[in-house]
Amino acid sequence: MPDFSPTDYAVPGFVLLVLVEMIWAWRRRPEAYEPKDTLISLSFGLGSTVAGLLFGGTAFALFLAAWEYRLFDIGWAWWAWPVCFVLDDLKYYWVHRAGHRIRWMWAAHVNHHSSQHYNLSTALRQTWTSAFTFGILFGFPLVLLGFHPVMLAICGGFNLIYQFWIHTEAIDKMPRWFEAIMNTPSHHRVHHATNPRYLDRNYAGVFIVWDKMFGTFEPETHDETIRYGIVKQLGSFNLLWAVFHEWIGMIQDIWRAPWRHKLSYLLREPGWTHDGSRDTSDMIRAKWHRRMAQDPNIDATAEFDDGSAPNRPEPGQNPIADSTKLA
Amino acid sequence: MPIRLVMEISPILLQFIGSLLAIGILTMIAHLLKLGPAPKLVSEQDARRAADQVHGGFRAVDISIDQAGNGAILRSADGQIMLLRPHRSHFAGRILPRDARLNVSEDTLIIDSAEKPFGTAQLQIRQPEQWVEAWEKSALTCKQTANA
Repeated sequence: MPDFSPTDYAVPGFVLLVLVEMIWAWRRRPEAYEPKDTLISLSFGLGSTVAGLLFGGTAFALFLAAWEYRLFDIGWAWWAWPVCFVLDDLKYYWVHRAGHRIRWMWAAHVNHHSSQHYNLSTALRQTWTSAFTFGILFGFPLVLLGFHPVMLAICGGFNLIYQFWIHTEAIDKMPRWFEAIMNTPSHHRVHHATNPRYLDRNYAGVFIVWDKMFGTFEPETHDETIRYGIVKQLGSFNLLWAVFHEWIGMIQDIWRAPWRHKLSYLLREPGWTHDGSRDTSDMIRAKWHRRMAQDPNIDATAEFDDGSAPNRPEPGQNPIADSTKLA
Repeated sequence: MPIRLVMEISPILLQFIGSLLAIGILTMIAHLLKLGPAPKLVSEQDARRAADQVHGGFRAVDISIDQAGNGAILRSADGQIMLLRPHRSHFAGRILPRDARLNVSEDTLIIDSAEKPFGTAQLQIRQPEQWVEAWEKSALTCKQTANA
């Protein structure tokens, strides 16, 4: 049985590549990085490894116990590795999709999305709290099929390493054949975008084919500038708030909700409310489609470039002063 | 003795310390390279664009931009008031909830978003008291609607 953790070996490479991307940003796009954001993202990464040490053992022990009841003796045959890698990536697609569509899972996964930047340090912005979700359940089918938990852990490690390099704006598009099969920086930028057209799309880890198969694929368009982050941006660099804000919000919602709605705040999609006071990603997209249908040219830039806006104050000027509009 | 001590420290602890050092060094390099320049709102168009990014479809009818470009306050036709304030190299915004508070100190509008992590913002605009009045009137309207 191999005793090997690929991510441990990859960490120095991660650090080096972040440095290389910073130099690229310095020369080409200084706004691609922000020191405090980088500090938070990297702290998330370090904290997640600590959380893994604290809680990962329990998950591994449960997998080992379940493996005793496996259907097939797959063992360590060479062919088992690529099969395991592909099936583990399929599992990743579903656990990731659940991470966006079930608020309990989103409470942990939101951390990876809460930066308004998209760079290699964002890739390291990993959750501390996944052990408190039911994400582990997605791993049991592969264990019960007969894949050894160590094999799954190693394949999962390589999956994570693959996903590092796609968190960048420094690469536009890869060759067409590659874009067709693999997850790429272009596909994953869509996943991190908050533009209505892109919300909850491209969940893939390594192979983008899963999104194409299950109807969640959206290609990147150059017609629209991508905005990164979450629908309600944090607006704070407080690390602990960044880690726990969605857990706190979810628990508050459950506490305040009428009894018959409490479970929905745990299991329905982020943004769902029993009184319709907030929007889910589907609602945001539907509203955007309606706005586009009314006026396809509507966007914040085009609309007001034609000089039709009623007030055009200079910075510092108060347009509502001496007016009765607000009465 | 110190060498023996270091040898005895668990590899995990060494890894942790190494990672902390790497985080510090990378953050320092980002500072030294002056990455993440602070943006300014220089026009109404900038403010509208930023507001639309905070809340898709937010159409401002009144806008006041801070004299130094460090934020703005906007009102939509349906009376919602939005605060935009800098968040390092981006702007972050909130449609102000009912328990938000607006005050004036000299020519500065002080806005408490009522959301502790989001905090307060100070905008230097002309006649800031007009926004306080607007906010109070809109709060009164809401109260009357709720009581009706």
